Parts: sequence; structure tokens; C-alpha cells
Amino acid sequence: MSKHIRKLYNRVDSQVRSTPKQATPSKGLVGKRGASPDKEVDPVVDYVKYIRELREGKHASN
Amino acid sequence: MPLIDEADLLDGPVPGQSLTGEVGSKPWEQPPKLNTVDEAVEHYVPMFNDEEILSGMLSHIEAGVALTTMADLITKGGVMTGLHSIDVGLMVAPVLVEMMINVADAADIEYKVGTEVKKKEGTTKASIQAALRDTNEDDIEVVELPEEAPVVTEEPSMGMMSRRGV
Repeated sequence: MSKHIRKLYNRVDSQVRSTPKQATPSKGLVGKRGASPDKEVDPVVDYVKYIRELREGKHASN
Repeated sequence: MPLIDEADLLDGPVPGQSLTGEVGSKPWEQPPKLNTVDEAVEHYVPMFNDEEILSGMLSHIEAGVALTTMADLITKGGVMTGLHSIDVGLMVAPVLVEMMINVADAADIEYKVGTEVKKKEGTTKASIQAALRDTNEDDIEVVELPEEAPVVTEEPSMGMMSRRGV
């Protein structure tokens, strides 16, 4: 299973790197007019992104 | 040195032994308690605040155990105790790896994720070609080898008469 975890981690890592750090803030429905249709957001990618942001924030404060 | 003693090998389970027990008697045969990644994350994240667990984890990271291997062990433990399915365990593993990176960073410990590409040691065809490309042809000294007298070996005749002499 460790091999699968490594594969999955690499995939999540590349997904996190490919997504922009801060999404553009949407202002209601008007902001979403030009946006791409709803993508299914992987919760794992969200978690990893959030944890990385926390870490970077900690590094920046030190 | 053998990894498993022969005696231990004989004490191991017989193939198919797991099928002889009552169905549902093992924790992993029960419906999992945590069904989503969110629930699994909620279960595992407080573990990183436990000092006892954290010190053990840090000592393993310091010893050079890859974080993916540790995540594998943690999630496998979860599967064995019937906490979650293998799938949820697999999904939550990258989150655990990230948390462990956080912990190792905070403790200022060097860590190994386990995804690093191993460098091959020794010479490869490509490295030899690169070295040859870099060297100037004028720098190469041509050493002439002394001529050796050709060694003449008599081939044994395969005729019938030659056997008599042997």
C-alpha cells in the first residue's frame, strides 16, 4: 500500500502545485458569470493545500 | 541474515485460515466507523497534539523512516481496528504526510517523504558518452602496445589414426 500512497501523494502534490495559491474572490452570482463550470474539488487536495499554507505562514512569521 | 526465522515461518497462519473464523468476528469485517475523508481527518489530526505519540513519531522521522511508510502504517492500523476502509485510509494518507512534514519542520528535524528519486550509482552509458564528449581529442594519448608474437597452437587432428598415438 506504501507504493500507492507514494503515487497518490505525488498526484496530490502536482495538483496542489498546479492550482493557484489564492482563488479570486467571487462576489455573488455576478462573479461566477465568467467562471468555469463547477469542478469537483478533491477534499484531500484542499486539506493538503490548507496545511501547506499554514506551514508557509508559520515560516513567514519566523 | 534471514529476515524471518524458520520457526516463526512455521508458526504463521495457514493459507485460508482467515476464512475459517466466524464472518464478522474481525474488526475489519464490520462496517467502518469513519466513512469519509473528512471524518478520518477529524480522527487523525488530534493525534498530532498527543505528546506521547508525537515523540515516538519524531524519533522515527529522525531515524530516517519515510513519511509515506509511516502514513501507511497508521492507516493500516486504522483499517485493522475497523475504523475506516482501505480506500479512506489511502485517501487520508497524503494529509497525514503533510501533517508529519509540519511536525518535523516545527521540530527542525530532517525528514524523508519517500517520493525522492533514487540516484543510480556507478557509471552509465550516458555518463561515459558525456565524459567522452567533454574530453578534447588532442589530450588523449595513444599508447602503442608492444606486438606480441602470435601464439601458434596445434590443432589436434581428428583422424582415426591420431588416437593410437595418444
